[in-house]
Amino acid sequence: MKLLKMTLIALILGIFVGLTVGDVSAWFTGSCKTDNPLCWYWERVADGGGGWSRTPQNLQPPWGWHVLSGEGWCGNIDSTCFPNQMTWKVNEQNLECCASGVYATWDHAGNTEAEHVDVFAFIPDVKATTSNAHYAVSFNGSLTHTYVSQISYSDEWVFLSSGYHAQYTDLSHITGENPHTTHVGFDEVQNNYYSWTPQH
Amino acid sequence: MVKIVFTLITLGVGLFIGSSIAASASSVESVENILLTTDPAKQAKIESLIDHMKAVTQDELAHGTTEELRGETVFSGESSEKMKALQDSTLDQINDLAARPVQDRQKAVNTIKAFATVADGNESVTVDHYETFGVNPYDNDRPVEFYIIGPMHYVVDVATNNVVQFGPRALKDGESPQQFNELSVLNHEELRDRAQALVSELSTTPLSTLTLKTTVKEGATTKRYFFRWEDNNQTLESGVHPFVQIGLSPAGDVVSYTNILGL
Repeated sequence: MKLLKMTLIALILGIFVGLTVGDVSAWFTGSCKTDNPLCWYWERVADGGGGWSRTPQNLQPPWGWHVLSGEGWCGNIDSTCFPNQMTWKVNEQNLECCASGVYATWDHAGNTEAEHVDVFAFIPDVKATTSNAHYAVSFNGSLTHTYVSQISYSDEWVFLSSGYHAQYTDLSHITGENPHTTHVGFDEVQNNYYSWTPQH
Repeated sequence: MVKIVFTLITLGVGLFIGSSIAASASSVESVENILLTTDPAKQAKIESLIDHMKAVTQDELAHGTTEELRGETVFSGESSEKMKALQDSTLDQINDLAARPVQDRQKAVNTIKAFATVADGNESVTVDHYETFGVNPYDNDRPVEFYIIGPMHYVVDVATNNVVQFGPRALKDGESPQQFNELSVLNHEELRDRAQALVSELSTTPLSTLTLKTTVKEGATTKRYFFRWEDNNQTLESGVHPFVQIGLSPAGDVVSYTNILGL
């Protein structure tokens, strides 16, 4: 009886931990038709899930990281993905606040130099009010910097940039606006991959 | 000892089941292929460009300068500038090779001009250039094209040539954003009426069949008003209810627009 109890507890604990830290980075893969030179798949990396990190990890409110449940792509739009939250932070004007840098990173490991990538960011309808969100995407070893007006979009995907061999995407809390006047929303990033020769 | 081993194995099974549930919950079932050019000469040229970039990348990794960043090997110094230039050049060439014929893209340009005429009365808008191709992030079966007009971008559905998104594009270093009329001359009701009138002209779906959701965003110096009409009776594979949404400045300028009702 005791062994049965331990087994059940271990099983439930295992499922819970698996759901929590499991594959929350969604992949959409498949095989290409041999007569079609252009094949694609997509990858979504959710804030708070696998493949996502924030630096520094511990930065306490009010000026640090905030997590809002029920908002963002997984929280407000797609009920099948996880975790159902968005991350946000008040803006800073420049590096004077924190020279070592404060940013979130979406990891895109897994694709190759041969694959064309379009990178999109999801802009939530709340806590994403900066006019100058600084995204940096590393393509094939080189950074592409772009600046997005998050206040111009509400629960929408916005195209960031294209390249080859996407490695990671960074989003900084530095916006150039007066400090603590806007919010930077850190939510889902989606990559659409294309290759000209069948690979998947 | 046996009990501990058995418990650990069970824990592992639980972990596997949990991870599998988490992974499958975020997957979509089918994969389609899209085709933007069937010209063998163009395909060969595209593959040649990619092979060249791969070869130069390997050479630069071996002989150039690199550093470790975010757990990845990236180029630094002159190597970074050289590889960025090569990638941009490769992208531009492949975009040209993979693009639809000019006469087909002209149809997209025509709908962009018609959209601009309705949205801001600008009948003489000039499309700066065709930027790239892709697929709609809400529906990966639908190829789209990206066009640029100054600091704004248009996303056009290849199948219908309709504008599926308009708004401020992601700017590069040194570029200036679009300026809008920020004077609060319209109240919320007047803004909603303007949004409804614009969307009725830009979209063919009767708004009376959709559910209106309103959002106001307040930034450092301005506000943005969003009016979103959703079809709550449908859900796309991506999990989103089809919608048309327009974002207005306090004076009623069209800041952004997204329409995925037709997907």
